[in-house]
Amino acid sequence: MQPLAALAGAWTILLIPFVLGLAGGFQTIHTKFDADSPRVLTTFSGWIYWLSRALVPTAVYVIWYRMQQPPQDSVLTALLCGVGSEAILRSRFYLGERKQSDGKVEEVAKGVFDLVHWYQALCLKAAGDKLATERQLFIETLLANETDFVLLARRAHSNAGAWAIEEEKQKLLAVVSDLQTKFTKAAQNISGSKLEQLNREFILEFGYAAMRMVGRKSLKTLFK
Amino acid sequence: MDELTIELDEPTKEIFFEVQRHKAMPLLEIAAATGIRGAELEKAVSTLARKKLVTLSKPSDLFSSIVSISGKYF
Repeated sequence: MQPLAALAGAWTILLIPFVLGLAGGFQTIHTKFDADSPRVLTTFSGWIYWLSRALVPTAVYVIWYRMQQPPQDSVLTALLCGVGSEAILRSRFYLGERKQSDGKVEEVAKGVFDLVHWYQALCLKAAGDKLATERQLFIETLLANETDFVLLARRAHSNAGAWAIEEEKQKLLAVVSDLQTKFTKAAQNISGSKLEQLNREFILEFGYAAMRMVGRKSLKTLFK
Repeated sequence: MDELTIELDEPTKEIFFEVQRHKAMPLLEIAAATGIRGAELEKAVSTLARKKLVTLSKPSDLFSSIVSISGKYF
C-alpha cells in the first residue's frame, strides 16, 4: 500500500469515493440492462465503464488531498467527492430554447453530462452488442428442441406454480395467457411450414419475455 | 433524432427507442419487449434499417437477426 500513501494519508479513505462511484456506475448499468446487469461486468467494455466511474471521484479526492498544505484526509470531503462528482458529471446548463419542425419547443442544454453520455453509450453499446448475441445463443440453445408453442406454454403454466413470489408468478401467467391468445389467433387458417415458423417465433418470443422477467437461471425451471 | 423519428409511425418509434435503450437486441426479443410482432415488426425494423437508424446482423434473415442501434444514435 506504500504507493497509495502519496494519494491519501490513509489509503482506506479512497474506498469511500471509489465505492460511491461504483454504486453510481452500477445504477446506470442496471437502468439499461435490468436482469442482465451482472453480465455486463463479464464484458471488457462493461468493466472499463464501471471502473472508470469509480476512478473519477477517487481522482477528484486525490487532487483535493494533494492541493492542501499540508495534505490532510477528510471523510466528509471523500463523501462529497463520491456524491458530488456524480452530481457535477450529470449537470447540464440551460442555454435557450429551439423550436422543432413539429412546433414543439425544446430546451437546449449542454454540460459535462453530454460527454459522459457519449462515453457511457460508447462503452455500453459494445457491452450491449455482446450481450445481445449471448442472449440469442442462450435462448436458441435452451429452446432448440421445442417445436410446439402450445405444449411449451402449458408446461410453463404448470411450472409457474412453483414460483414463491406471487407477483412474479402472476406476471408470468399473464404473459403465458397473452401469448396463447395471440398464437391461437395467428395460427388460424395456416398450416405446414408457415405454422412451424409461427410456432418457432412464439417459442423464442416467449423465451425472451420470460428471461426478462425471471433471469436466465430460473428459465430452465420454468421450461422443465 | 427528433426530426428523423417524427417521420416514423408509433410502433416503429417504440421499437427504435427500445433498441436505443438496450443498444442491441435479437429481433424476437424486441417482439417480447414491445408486443409488436409478425409482419408489423419486420416492416418497422426494415424501415429503421433503411433510414440507417439501426443495423441488422443478418439483413437477409430478419428472424434470427440482431438489431443494433446505429453509431450516431447510441
